[in-house]
Amino acid sequence: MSLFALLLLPFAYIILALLIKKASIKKRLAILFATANFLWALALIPLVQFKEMIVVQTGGWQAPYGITLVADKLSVFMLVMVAIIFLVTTIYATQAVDKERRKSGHYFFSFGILMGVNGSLIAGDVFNLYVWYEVMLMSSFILISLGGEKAQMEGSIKYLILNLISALFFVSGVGLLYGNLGSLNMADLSRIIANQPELLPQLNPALILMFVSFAIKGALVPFFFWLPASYHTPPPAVTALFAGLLTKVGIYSLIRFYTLFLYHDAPFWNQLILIMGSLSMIIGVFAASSQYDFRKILSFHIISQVGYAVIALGFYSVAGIAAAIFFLGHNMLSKTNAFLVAGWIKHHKGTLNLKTLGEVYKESTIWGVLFFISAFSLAGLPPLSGFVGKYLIIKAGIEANQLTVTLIALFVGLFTLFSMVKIWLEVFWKNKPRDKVVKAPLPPPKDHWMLTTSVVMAILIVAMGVWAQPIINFCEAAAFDLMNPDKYIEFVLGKS
Amino acid sequence: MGNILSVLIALVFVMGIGVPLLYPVFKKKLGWLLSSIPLLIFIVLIAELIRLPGREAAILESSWSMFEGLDFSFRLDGLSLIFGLLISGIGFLVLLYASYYMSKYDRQGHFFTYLMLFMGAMTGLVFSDNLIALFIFWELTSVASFFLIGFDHHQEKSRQASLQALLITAFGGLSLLFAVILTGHIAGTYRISELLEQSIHLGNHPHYYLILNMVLIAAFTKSAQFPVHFWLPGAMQAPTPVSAYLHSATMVNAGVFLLLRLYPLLGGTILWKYALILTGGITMFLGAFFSMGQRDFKRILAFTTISALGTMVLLIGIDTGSSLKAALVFFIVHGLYKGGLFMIAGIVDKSTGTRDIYQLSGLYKSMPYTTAAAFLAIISMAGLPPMLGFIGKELIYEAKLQLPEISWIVLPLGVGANIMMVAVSITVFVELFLPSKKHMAQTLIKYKEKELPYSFLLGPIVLAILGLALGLAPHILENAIANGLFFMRSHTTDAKLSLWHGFNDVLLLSIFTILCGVLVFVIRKPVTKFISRIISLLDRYHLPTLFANMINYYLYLAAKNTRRIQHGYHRFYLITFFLVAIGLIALQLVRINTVELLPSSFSPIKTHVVLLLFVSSLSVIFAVVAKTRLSAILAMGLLGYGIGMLYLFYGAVDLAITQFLVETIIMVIFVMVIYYLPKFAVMSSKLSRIRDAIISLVVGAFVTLVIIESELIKPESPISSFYVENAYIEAKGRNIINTILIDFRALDTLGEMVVITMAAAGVFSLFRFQIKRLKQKEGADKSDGSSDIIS
Repeated sequence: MSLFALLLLPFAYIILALLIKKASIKKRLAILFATANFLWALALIPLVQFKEMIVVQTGGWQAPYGITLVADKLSVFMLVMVAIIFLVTTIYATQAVDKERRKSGHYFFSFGILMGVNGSLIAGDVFNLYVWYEVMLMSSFILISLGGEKAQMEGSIKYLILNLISALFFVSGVGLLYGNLGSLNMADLSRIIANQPELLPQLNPALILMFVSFAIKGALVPFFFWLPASYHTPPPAVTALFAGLLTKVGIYSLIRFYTLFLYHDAPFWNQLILIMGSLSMIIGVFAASSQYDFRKILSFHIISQVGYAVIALGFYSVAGIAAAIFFLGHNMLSKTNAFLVAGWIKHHKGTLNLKTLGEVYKESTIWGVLFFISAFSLAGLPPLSGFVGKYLIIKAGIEANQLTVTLIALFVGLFTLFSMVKIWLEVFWKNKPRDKVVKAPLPPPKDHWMLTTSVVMAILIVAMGVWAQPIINFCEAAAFDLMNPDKYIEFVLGKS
Repeated sequence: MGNILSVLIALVFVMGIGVPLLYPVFKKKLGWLLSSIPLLIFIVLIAELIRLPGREAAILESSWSMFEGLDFSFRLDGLSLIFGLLISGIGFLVLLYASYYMSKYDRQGHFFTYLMLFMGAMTGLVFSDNLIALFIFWELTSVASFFLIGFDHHQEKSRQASLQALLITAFGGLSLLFAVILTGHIAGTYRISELLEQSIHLGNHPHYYLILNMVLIAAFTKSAQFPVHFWLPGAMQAPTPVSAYLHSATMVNAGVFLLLRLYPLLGGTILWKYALILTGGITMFLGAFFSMGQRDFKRILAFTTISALGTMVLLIGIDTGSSLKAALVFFIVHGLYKGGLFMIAGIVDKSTGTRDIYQLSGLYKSMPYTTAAAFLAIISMAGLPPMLGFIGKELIYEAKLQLPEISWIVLPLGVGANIMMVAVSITVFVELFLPSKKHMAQTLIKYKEKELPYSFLLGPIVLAILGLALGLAPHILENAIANGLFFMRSHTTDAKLSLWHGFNDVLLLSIFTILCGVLVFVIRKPVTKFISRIISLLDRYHLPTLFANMINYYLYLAAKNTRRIQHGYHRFYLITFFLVAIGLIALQLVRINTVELLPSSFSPIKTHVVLLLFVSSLSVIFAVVAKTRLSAILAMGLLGYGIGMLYLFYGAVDLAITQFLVETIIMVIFVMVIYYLPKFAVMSSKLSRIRDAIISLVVGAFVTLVIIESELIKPESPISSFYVENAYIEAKGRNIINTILIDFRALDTLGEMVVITMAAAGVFSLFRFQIKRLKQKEGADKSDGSSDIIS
């Protein structure tokens, strides 16, 4: 039951939203359900600390025959982060998303995403994971295209098709794996492979298909094209939600697969992951600095930041995996908040073009402060969450004796800083260009909820930096569990 | 007593962040309120200085840490006290000074926030006993200085300068972080006191050069050493109080501090010596040399700062007891006179509206006290007795002379630099304050000294008097310097300071320098012309512009290549996806020798299966080459039925039925919508079609290979037998597929249902929403049109 609720809450909202017509009730219900989801996720923390893992065998069918839902510390960490992002963006959307879109099912599809994401994070079965990916993909595709603006249509088609390829790869991989090993349960698969680890190279072709699928979801080089093509098209509140959740689920799955299966052939996979991660860091930041659209800069940046989490995974040590988990969490907060600021600017200035914006700092100090907290956190400056994340990764890299990759990660930080400062200088500091008059928006819309949510996020970013130790401890415990897959197998399949 | 210090440093930060709350209450008196904190710190530090034992350091443990390994414990020893005293003392004066200077500015509150954070970061930096904490404060100084330099951010120049300063110092900061973590990894602790206790020296570690290089990058970028010195003159874009603080006691001196702090860990090797001596020597000379060619008072001072920083780095590199002592003394000397001179530059600027030394003259009449302070400060800068500056210079010469093997390069650079310093000091003073024949419009003087508040004049006067007092009674400093040196060299060095060293070659050299300096001053016109010529010649290589161009080129390159990577052509994205995936798989197939593994013992294939496959393949080919949609869809349907038949042949009746049903429904739907679709058009060229065909065939071939390969591994019996056995007994269903769908794996079905719901609702709201939008647009257009008519 404890895990079912994570699926039932969004599911219940979806049903209710189909039945209820009134927009204001839909809005209130959305906030209510998002809050409930958040509280539920929070309640899992003590459970997982006390009982190590939560396992639910659906339909009462013993694993590996039925579908198993599992939440270990990594899942719970991600669930809580997802719940925070979701709650914040839901409240934010009440003012940031136009009424038309809200009426046409903005929340309905958001909850679809939540269901997909929650499901992916607790799936203990590869095919079930695929199903949740589908849920996520379909809802997010519609959310991107909702509103039907021309740019949206173009972006959403690219998003859909490239992500369908990801689904195709994934399901082929699942098929091959099932053909080989005759099971779909992750713990069972891991057990079978662990019994004959020399098998793994022969399973690699199937696993590569799945890896590519995660790499597409996680927007790693060279599989990221869908992300910069689509993220700048929907309303900023939607982008904020996507930036916080979607790529991170891909990376989560990668971590899961890595620690359950891929580690048996570590020489090959480590190298592949380190190379792809390094390329992502470099190419992402490189492309980001060339952009002149607030959201495009941030979008390209996601690729770079995902690279950080991935190289930390490639170090393959408790410290490395803990760093990757912490970094994911930090990135979800900081990136989402950067998009929340972008959303406010879009709302008030009607544009996100760096060339036509200016003087925002003069007009609103508080939003300036909110932006630089998120941006400087992304750039890894102390004492914000990004600094701790970067510190953990560099430390893990040095301990794993991967100095080259570590140095790349280090100096990519400089370019990150550059592109963040570029936004700062252009949007917040420079004078408004006189010749390009932007049409003043309609009477300044209400923004107190937008402000509140962004302030909360900024506080969380600072808190995650300043009170990092308990979070690091949790991440390390999660990483420790991940490095001992026997524990996971035992919990799911029972003691043999 | 000591713990008050931690509280006070925290208070600096708290007050800085709290400025928005305090400002409405205190308004113009805010500067006074804020300045009380550095004053308190100063007093506490003086008390600590008096109590400081000769060979011990006081450690203030902190109870709070951000994460494991990072705590904010403070270390009070000679080195940190000397820096801390200057930071807090000058900080106090700067805050007082700023409260008048900034009174005409908008956003005073912001200014004080940045300045307080800057002060807190700098104080934290010098007292940190933890290397990571030191790094954090180091980065904070970079960030705070970014905001201070860019304070007048409506000016392009300020933004450029702040960006350059930030990028250069952040580059150093990242290097420092790496060095610090690597050091901590090797030594097992980040605590400076523990590192010193274990007397660890990294000189023999294989990573020593990496660490040293990283530390040097950090120190040189922060301390504006050649060739990255150029951000410092640019940093003058900051309001003058900031310049005064930045140059005298903080920011740029952090690099020097770092070198001194890490000296016991890294110092003393050949690379250390040569890197510091060469960089320091060149920086010292160039800074002094170019200061002579400037007109702007602040700019002159900025270049002399570069020279002074070069001197300090050089001295640390010379690496003898007396040179380290000289470096510490010189830091104090420089802080005192440079802080004062910058404040004087601000006073001159406020009262006349210009800082061009060749436009001004005879200022002694309107501002006697300032002139007196400037006189003392400039004597100190020139290194003349009886100021502290003289002692500093004597020590420098002594240190340089002690180094026979490289004195042939160090000595000319040093003497040359000092000659220029003497000359530029005299020039500045004579041009600004003494009467001369050149005409100065008296209207330039807006304020006389008497009209300015005394808090504005206090800074330079106090600093000048301090310089004089320390020059006359230098032994006050001996205790702190001896303590600082003890921790660096692990043995006491003679720290005796005095004005009169006796008649020796050092004194001769001093006299020679001063005479030459006076000579250069006398012929200053041709000299300045000469230097300005060089400067204009070098303008082509103007470093800030070069740096800006580099950034622009980087942006251009990034934009160009981004368009290449994110080109927008869907088909190439797909090609990339497939080819990379297939490439990776091919790599694996080669690695595990699939071809050899391929078994010869496949089970024999029946004739009707072959026939079926043949027909299916034909239908695929037909679908590809078909000229109309309808025929393509029919061909695809044929393939679907073929697959269904295949299921049937292998005994999966229920699967086959499902497949037939699905195929039929899809075909029916297709046929229904087909008339609404636009005409079938061929968009691609023949060549690209051939390319696509090849790629598809390659992908298909590899997938086939992978499937065949996967047949080889069957380690355990599959779980499907469980379903066959239990479908009826446990799940109460005769159709196994049905039991799987609605019982064994019901959750999957639920998920898929949600997908379908989402898709259906999505299609619905996309249609409805778009139509509405169109209507709205029409309405908007109409209203626009009508308003046109009215106007």
